[in-house]
Amino acid sequence: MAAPRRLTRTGSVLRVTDTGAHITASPISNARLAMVIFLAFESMFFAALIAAYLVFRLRSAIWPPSDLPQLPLAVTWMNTGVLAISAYTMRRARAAQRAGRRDELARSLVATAALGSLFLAVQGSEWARLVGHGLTLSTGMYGATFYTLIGCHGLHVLAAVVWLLVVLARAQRSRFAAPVRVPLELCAIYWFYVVGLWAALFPLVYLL
Amino acid sequence: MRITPLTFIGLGLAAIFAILGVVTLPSTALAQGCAMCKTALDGPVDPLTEAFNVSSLFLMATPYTVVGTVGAWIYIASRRHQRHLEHDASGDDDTVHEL
Repeated sequence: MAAPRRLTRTGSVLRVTDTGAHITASPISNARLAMVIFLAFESMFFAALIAAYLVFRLRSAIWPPSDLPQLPLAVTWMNTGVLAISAYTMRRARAAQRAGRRDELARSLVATAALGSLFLAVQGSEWARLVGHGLTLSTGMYGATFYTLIGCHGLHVLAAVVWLLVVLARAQRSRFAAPVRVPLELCAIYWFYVVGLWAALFPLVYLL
Repeated sequence: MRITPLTFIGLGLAAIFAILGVVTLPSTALAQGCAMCKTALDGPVDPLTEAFNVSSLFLMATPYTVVGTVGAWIYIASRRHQRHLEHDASGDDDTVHEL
């Protein structure tokens, strides 16, 4: 008779026999490892953008140039708070998924998606205002570096929101049962990465 | 793949050509970089030079930071996994679920 298989907290599969337990799985799942490697590549991509930004920022005594509009600091502070809260709700969603609390999982996922969308909406409205004041992608190096760096981050947030909505739709279809565990874990890792990235970009672009 | 004497001769010739190529290439040609960067960085220390230096240092440090972070994460996860396995094997695990 085949020995019973057991799933532990860490996701490892144990085969229990008369002689003891044999490990048949690695400590880190392939999906998580792939996600982390992907994020390592993403980090290098953003590092290149940040390095280019640093060259233009540090060589300029006056930044932003005096004839261009100042960046909206107060609104962006609030938007940063929105993104930080979204990380908290995502954390709650993950905890609820692990504990099997389906209602809380649904609420937390919806809240996270809504907060991410709010962040994008505020960013979009601020961009429209800046363009109206004359700061465009072709307004010298200031406009080019600002829109490239913040725009790339915005695209990543958009991708994270779309991904989260897909996970949410799948979760609703399966009534928040086990099949969404891995997609939700990966989406959460990506979400935390995007929030962490903003924590680095915000002081660099808006405060430095 | 079976290694034949012909393979050895081919590899040896390739190695000789590679060494000859490296030795005989003029070193000044290898030392040339981007003309704009060279002109800018050869001058006295000014904000542009400083900016390039900071940016270069940042780019040099990033791969080590990323790889170090990933390595530390894998190490910590492995240690935690090992602890859980030992805990599970001891037979007093109350969080084991049947598949």
